[in-house]
Amino acid sequence: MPSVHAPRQPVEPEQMSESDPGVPADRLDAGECGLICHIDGDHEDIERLKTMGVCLGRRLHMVKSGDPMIVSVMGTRLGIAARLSRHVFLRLDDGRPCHERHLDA
Amino acid sequence: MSSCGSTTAVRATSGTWTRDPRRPVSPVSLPVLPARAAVPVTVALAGNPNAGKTTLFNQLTGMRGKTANFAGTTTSVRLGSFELDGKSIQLLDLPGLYAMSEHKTEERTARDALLGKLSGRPRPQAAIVVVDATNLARNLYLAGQVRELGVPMVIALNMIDLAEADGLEIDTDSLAVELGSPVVAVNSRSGHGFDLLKRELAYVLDSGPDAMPALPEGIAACGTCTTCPHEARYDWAEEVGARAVRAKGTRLMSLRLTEAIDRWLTHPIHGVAGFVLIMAAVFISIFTVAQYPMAWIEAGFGFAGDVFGAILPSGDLNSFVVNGLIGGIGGVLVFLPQICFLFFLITLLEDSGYLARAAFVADRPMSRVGLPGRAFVPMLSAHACAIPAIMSTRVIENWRDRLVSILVIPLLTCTARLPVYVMITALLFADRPVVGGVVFTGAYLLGMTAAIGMAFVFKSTILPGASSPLVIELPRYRLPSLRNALLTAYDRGRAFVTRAGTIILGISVVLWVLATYPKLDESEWSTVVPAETIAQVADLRTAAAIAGDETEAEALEAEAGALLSSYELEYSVAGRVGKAVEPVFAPLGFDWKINVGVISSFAAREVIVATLAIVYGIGEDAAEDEETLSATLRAQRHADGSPVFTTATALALLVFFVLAMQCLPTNVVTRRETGSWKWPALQFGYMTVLAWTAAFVVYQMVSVLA
Repeated sequence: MPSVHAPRQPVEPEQMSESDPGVPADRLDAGECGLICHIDGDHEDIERLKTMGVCLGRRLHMVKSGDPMIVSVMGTRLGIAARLSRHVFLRLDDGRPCHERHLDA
Repeated sequence: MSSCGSTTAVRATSGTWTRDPRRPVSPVSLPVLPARAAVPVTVALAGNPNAGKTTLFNQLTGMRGKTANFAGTTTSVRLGSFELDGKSIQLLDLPGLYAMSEHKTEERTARDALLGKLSGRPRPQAAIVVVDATNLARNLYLAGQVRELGVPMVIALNMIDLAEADGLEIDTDSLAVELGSPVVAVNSRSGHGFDLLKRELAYVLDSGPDAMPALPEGIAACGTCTTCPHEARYDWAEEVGARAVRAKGTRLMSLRLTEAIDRWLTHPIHGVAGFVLIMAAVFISIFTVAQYPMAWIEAGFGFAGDVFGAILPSGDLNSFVVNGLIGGIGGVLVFLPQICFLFFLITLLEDSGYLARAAFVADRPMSRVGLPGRAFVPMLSAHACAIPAIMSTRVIENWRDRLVSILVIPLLTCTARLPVYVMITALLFADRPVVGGVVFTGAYLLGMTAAIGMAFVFKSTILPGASSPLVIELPRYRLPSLRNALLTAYDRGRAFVTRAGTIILGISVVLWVLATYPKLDESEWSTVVPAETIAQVADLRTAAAIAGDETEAEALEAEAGALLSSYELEYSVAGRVGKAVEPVFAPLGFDWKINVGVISSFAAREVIVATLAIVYGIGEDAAEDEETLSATLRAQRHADGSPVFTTATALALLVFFVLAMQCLPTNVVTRRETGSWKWPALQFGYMTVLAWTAAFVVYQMVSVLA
């Protein structure tokens, strides 16, 4: 499925500075994955995300982009609205296929 | 390693839980609960949504569960009981939880329930925490939190069969040591592992909290983390999960199957098409399949009415039993098949994993009117009956979204409105079935449009804010459990009968009294009944007296009774009220007789059909014959000779019934679900004002056009 957002240049982990929060999850294409490095805000809906496993240090795999989107975290598939996922920032993985990493998890 | 066939028991020694080969496994040597077990023993059941908690509850308690609210809260809990070593154990099924944070009411309530902080509910002596074996790390988060509360617990490692099919091996011994609690592999559908689960529970109850090993360091560290408790807990859960689980290859077949199905069912185009098809199939099945048992119930109550009508002497007692009691109970029970069938299908869809996809697909269009995708299924259910629909709004997590859904659900066309729609379309368009069909459909669409419009209004005014953004777990697809669906249908059906049935029965009795008293004595006929009618009645009675055939005499007496019934009603309290409110409904084209119908159907809208039949003197039995009723209504004239049921009046009546509340049991359920009379009062008030205004506009516009 084509991406619903503007083309994005991949961000390599080494290119990120301390102040760089990473890539918002709503800008990932299907098949991409990364490590959750920052979550913006602490309102009720963000807390809901965190209790379902979308929290710092977890690996997130974009299964289906769009709004809402499907992500996989800790082996669970979650449907998430784009307006919520843009609060989640990731450091993208290297070129290794995300699907393989997902199976590792 | 443990498997479904080799469940494992462990016990505490020196602060940890280790395998104890000497543990008795024979049922005859089960540990005996101490003397304190004489007071009811409560065990809480906790677990993530989709972990199989409900199936485990049903498997343990059979059909003895009932749904209730925690005192002073709107959080529902299921209560059941089962035998353990000769003692009755009360099982407290907490809502499905991902965590026990302070942010969500349900999670806070569950935490308080586990700590014994809720009034009227003792602290559970132990907890069974249901953990999905196919998704161990995510489920361990909650298990760790329950353990941290200090409640003695047993882990039921559910779906172990699926985990094995996925090529996962789980070391329950190691898990038990990490959690400081016994771990039992179970299959909640087949009941496999339940004997051992019960034995472990008996052992934990017997040992009490003092015998619990110290809180494992990993869990204790999570509670003291001040930076990100979620991160710390999930780090711990992932580490524990990684140590306990070993993947044999990378089969994960069910996951790949789920991905393949989801590519279709969550697609922006095929997904919506599939959603419409599946929901249409549910909707159509409810109406087609349920019509047979509904007809049986109607026939059964009709037969009971005939039998009691024949046995009891004619008079008030006869009328009370036949019209008040049997009519009242039958009027409610007739909707039972639809409600049971609806919940049966919804449970099958939920168990299969599809319902989460339905919410996913519906989220975007629903969010445009300020409602979450999860509100769709309750709104669909409302087309059968608003009561179970309001009950099923519990799936909506955000309170404001849930409240808006509850407030607008009664606007959707439930089956109780259908007799009214049938009556009016038959009255107006008997010879134009296509136009009648269009008007019928229009009534449905008006209800839907009003519900969406009012949701938007509420979201823009008293309950502001965008709908809560979607976060929903999409569980793997699996074959649904027929037993679970049947038990849920039974449970919801029973709740419907006890809650709505008792209320509507009471209301029916009150209405019967209001429509019957004061009685119109023959001495007072001249004040109410026209001389022409008195003469007709006298003629009929004379004919009955001299009739040779008893059946013929009864028929003549019944005809005389039918002629008088509308005047008896006019003389009753209900009739007098109908006349008193004439100024309110006159702008809608309603006369006092229609007003009696509107007032008598305050508690249950379908009552208007029978009431109009009585008011216009054709009897309740004739009301079942649409042609007789519509022909009689068409023939009604005002004193000046103009027809009572003009197109404008009939359409105004239709619109009024599409939009008016007219269902007391729904109001009562709203009160129960919202915990306050404020919201049912608002619901009744806004719907009545909306119905009156819309009926007024329709009456005035059609009158001008005509």
